Amino acid sequence: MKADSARLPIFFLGLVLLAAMGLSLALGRYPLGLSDIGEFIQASLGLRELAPERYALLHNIIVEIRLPRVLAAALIGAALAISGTAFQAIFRNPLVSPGILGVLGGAGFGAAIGLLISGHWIVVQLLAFAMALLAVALGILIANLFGPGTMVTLILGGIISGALFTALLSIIKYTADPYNQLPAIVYWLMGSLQAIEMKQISVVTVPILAGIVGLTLCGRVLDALSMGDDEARALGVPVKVVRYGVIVAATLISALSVSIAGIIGWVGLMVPNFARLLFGPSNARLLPLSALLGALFLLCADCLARGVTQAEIPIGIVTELLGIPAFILVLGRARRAWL
Amino acid sequence: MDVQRERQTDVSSAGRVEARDLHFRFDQREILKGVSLVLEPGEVVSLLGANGAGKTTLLRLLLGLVSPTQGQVFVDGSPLASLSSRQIATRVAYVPQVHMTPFPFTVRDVVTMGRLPRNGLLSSPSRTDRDMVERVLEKLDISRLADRIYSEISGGERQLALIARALAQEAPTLILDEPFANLDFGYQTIVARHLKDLAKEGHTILMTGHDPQFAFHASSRIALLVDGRVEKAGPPAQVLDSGAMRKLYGIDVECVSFAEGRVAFFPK
Repeated sequence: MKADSARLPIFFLGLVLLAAMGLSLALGRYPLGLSDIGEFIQASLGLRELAPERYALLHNIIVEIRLPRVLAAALIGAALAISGTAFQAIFRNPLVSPGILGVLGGAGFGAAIGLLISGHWIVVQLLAFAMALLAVALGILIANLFGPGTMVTLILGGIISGALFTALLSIIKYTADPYNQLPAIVYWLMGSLQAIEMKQISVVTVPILAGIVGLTLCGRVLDALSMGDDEARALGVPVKVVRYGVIVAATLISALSVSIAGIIGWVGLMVPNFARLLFGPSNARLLPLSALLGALFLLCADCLARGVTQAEIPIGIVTELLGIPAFILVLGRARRAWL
Repeated sequence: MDVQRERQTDVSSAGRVEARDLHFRFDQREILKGVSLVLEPGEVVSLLGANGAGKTTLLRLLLGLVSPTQGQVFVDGSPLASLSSRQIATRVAYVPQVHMTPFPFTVRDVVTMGRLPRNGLLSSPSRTDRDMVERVLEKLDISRLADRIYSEISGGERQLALIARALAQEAPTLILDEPFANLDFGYQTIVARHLKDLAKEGHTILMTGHDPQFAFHASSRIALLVDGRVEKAGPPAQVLDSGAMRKLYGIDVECVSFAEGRVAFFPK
């Protein structure tokens, strides 16, 4: 398995992802064919004349309604998947997900407060993001309370922090108005790409892509780290810097993702294992490949979410339902390696 | 004898590791109380001591994984504290006790990790790196294991893979933590033979162990860690006798000599 052989699958998956994104633009309540999308692209580039009403209609559907969610699905899927892969490497455990340090609990609480006090999307998203970061910071603080943080104390700190914010979330749910606010909170918690607009995409795209690139560069270092702390340090790896650096990067992109889309689970746990089964454990190629696979997975989930029934199914439900049989498959094949 | 040795190493101090009066305290307990030890190229040194005597602590101090509360370590003439992790990694290579990893890395993957300190943390393996890995695998006769999954091969094979990884670092000194533990007698012999060959080629080898019998025949020098200090260090025949055994392990042992300098220990 040489390093060059990473380029071929990355290229191939990248193409598949682009094709899937194009196809999903055609999917939705208003029937559009690929030829319609082609028409629209040509008209936008000035290569073709279209009646203004038709152009406006296509623009509205493709660019304003569908494109944001297609881009969001790809970005968020990639962000959650690569975070999961990186976390599994630094915690040396394939059962770890990005939520282990409390980021999801914090985001849920933040969004709930936002929905309680305002309901405006900027407030909700900012608070979700801020509380997500706070939850992880608290988890790290707890881990380092009685001595330098080890992996076990980090996980415990994350569990404690997550539990705290989940409890606080329950308080909010209890005090929320049961006719308007509570359903909004519950719905947010199930995850949805429906309300995402281009302005949110434009804010999160650069940081998420930067985080993905940053994590990808850590490939070889994470390989060494997944063998053991002492060995990694004896190979020249700055263990503490890498561990906390990865935690910060992965937490940032996860927090950005859940703040705009709500809680989407399973992607960060299942996609890394699936990718590892397909492409092997070498992180230099596994990280970018799991990002691409995660993007593809969430895109498919989103297509199912809005294509299967008349009313849209929250995407968090779809990822969980899709994820469970997929995970059982992974479990069967990967059991040997985990012993 | 020491003066002569020092003159010899004036030319190049590559592969020379010196511990000078190392003290180490942990949790109010003084584990090491002034350890001094010199390791030279061409020798296989076994560090013997009871459980909890501080052997692993001493290894970690020599590798720069922890800092001493007092005293200094010198690697290739430079103080360890002045070297970066990467610089240390190109001079001293660590072979930990055989372990498992939950991820299905191949043996080649594991050995390639040894090239990290040489070619940078962010770079990908070059042609030179790949050739080096193949050479090292061949040197230890484990080329046939290159594509096998590390966690699925036997303990002895895994130990050889970890030694291969250390060799891929191209460091003159190898420090091994109980390399013979959990190995069958066959692999113990194979590993011991490889270590002797490596020393003959100019490497410096230090290992800890629990088997004085095996250490006697596998090493050119033995150091006894008793009461936080190196009680005695020298050729096995001079160091390992019933008195040493009593000091090390607190038991009475009978030493029986055979032809060609071979010695066996029998607990009384």
